[in-house]
Amino acid sequence: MEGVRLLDVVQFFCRTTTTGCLQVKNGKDRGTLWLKDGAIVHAEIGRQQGEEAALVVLTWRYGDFSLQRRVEPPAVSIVTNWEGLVMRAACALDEHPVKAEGGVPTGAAGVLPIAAAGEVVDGVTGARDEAALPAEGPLASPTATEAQTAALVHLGETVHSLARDIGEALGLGPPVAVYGWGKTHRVALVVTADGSARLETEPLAAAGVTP
Amino acid sequence: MENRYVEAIRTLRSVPRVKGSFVLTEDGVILAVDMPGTLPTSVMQLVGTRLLVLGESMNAEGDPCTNLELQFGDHTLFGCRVKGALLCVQAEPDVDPPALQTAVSRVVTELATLRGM
Repeated sequence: MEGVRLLDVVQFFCRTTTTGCLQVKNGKDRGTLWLKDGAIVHAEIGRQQGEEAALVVLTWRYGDFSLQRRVEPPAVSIVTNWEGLVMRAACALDEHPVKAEGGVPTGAAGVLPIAAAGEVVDGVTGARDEAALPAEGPLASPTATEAQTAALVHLGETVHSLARDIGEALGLGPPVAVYGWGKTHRVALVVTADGSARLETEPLAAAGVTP
Repeated sequence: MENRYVEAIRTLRSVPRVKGSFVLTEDGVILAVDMPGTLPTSVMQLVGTRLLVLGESMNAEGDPCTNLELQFGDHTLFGCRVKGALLCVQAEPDVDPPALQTAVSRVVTELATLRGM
């Protein structure tokens, strides 16, 4: 899994309700996360344990990892939901943008101009919902918090990054657009000529999509 | 059983401009691959994992993402979530949508039967 962003890997295991022990190696550093039914319940890095240890591991951009499935945690030191931890880690990463492997810029400004300066995101509340897109309405609004804006930026960045990886792996080149839809709404990530991307949601009827 | 999955998805090639397809479970296990060229299993695992996370990432509030469309320059990758699995189809951009939809529906039904659902 070389080149895979660690945060995406952890999100995948959480979303697939994994139970197990995720050991991560980042250069000389070693960290361990324990997951129970998708929740991050314990973390250790050296003598450090709990939430702070989890955040250290989650903010490693890349690392070698191995998962031992169905391993029960030796302790429960984390009660914060995993979405909250991932969001905090994502915000921390955004505050310290670097060039990621493959040249994908991870800073908010160059990747996803979904909210122009002074604009923020509306319709998103709570840690869980911060990771989901509002089903309707404009993504930019004057009432959302900085964290909500960062959450959407991270979401768009993740989608863009995943699509780039898929295109590269299958030899299809960079993505032009990514669409996802359910029964009522479509989410679209449109990549512009300069390589940045724009995230939108709209009702399926308006998008001309048959459910 | 694996061959029957391959047989099922291979029928998608009867739709003009469809180049190939693959199917994986929701925990990332590749069930069958019928893609152009020879792609190592590790590549398919990498693609499958990313597609699953991508689908999860594009859930709207109260409306889980069940379909994906990734447009690249010369090809489009369609993803269709069925119970416990994700069917992905690679096609040229000018594939006939109704023909593809009909073929995908048929394959989805067959895959569901094979999975005992």
